[in-house]
Amino acid sequence: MAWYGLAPAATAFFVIPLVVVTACTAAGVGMWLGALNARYRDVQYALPFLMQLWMFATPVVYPASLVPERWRPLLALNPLAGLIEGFRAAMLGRPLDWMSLGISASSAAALTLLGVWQFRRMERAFADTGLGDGERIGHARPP
Amino acid sequence: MVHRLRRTARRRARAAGHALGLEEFRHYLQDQLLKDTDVMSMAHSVEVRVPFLDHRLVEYAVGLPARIKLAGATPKPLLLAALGDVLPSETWDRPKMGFTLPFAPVAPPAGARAAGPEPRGRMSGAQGGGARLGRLRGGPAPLVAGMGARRARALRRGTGQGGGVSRTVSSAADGGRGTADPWMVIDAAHATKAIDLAELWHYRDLLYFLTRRDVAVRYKQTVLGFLWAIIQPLMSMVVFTVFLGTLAGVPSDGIPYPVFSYLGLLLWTYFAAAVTRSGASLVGNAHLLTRVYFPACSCRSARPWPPSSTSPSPSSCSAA
Repeated sequence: MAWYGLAPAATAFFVIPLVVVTACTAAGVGMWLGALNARYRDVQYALPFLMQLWMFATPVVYPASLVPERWRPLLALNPLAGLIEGFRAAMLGRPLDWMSLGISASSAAALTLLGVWQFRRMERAFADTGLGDGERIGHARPP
Repeated sequence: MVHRLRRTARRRARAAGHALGLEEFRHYLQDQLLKDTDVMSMAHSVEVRVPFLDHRLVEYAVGLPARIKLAGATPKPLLLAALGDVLPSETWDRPKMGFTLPFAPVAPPAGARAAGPEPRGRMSGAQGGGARLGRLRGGPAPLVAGMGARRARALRRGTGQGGGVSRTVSSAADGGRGTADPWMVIDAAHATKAIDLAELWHYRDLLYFLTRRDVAVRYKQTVLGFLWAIIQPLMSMVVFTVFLGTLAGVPSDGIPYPVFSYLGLLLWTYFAAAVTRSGASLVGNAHLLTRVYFPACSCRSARPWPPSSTSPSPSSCSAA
């Protein structure tokens, strides 16, 4: 940023709640996928592709303004869309798009709760149906 | 005076026994017994769980006063009080056996040898064992650490201190069995309950150590260390700047494209790494989870090798 003569703006402190929300979303999604992975190991192969897909569904390397105006709220349903746009705006002291940030924060909360709920639901069976066999295979086999 | 001295001596002896028990737990159990159990059970294709090592039960037992655990001349009085009603007397009312090598089936006693080799006679011992095992299996689920009402009451009366035991009673709140049938059911949490933040806070030191371990391992044996956290999005930024920013001419809201994409990638890399790693965390830490924290139905998981229900994934196969 210094190269382009840009310094973090005074609004940069606002990234802290954004990072916290991002962490919560990651925890929720991660718990869900982790629980799913314990049961179906397919998840670990599908996950890299899923994350790549998710990245291009998020305005990370393109601006949200590239998306037509009427599709913006739909884009903001992706929690990371509003969070990353907000992160960038806060760092550079640009106006925040409160509408999409609000939608994204709500869907982030929903996704987190859904992930935690799914984790709790599947937790009961971990050691028995999920991890038992995989862990067993990792050990030395009887001849 | 003499009476008081004797009482003090007894208390000291109990405290020493308590400390000894903790040391045994920390070293002998962890380094020897669990390993032996693992090796022996695996050699016979049996999946063994150790329900008595559920952290809640261990914490509860450690917190009990020594006079309950080391009462009288009978060894392990608490275990007997808890399970004497549930298990057949053949299992608990027999002389203590050490971990000696089973010489008997290999080298029969002199009398048997004089009568000539008779495999059938030698086998009878094993058959008896099988029958006993069968009875054990047919009995009530051994995973429920129950305490007979009569014995629990006697124990409480005998020690004159109900606090510890009645905690077991109250923890049996499930199903409204009431205090007459004090069972402590070790079970996984229910899905309807949200994440128990109080429990999470209670185990904050565990969380701290696991986090520290992960951070320490993360950039181990790297020259640049934690700088990778900055360099990784930086490298993606260069790639996207060249292909999207310069060649494809993607707009960036008037912000220089490298700055624009780096800020986005910084948060995205964090999110993607967090999701990917937590997605693999349960399977990666299976050795921690399956040993101690076990589900209610794990008694069923003593299934023959190889497990037929799921097909092994290629990665875990290559690890074997």
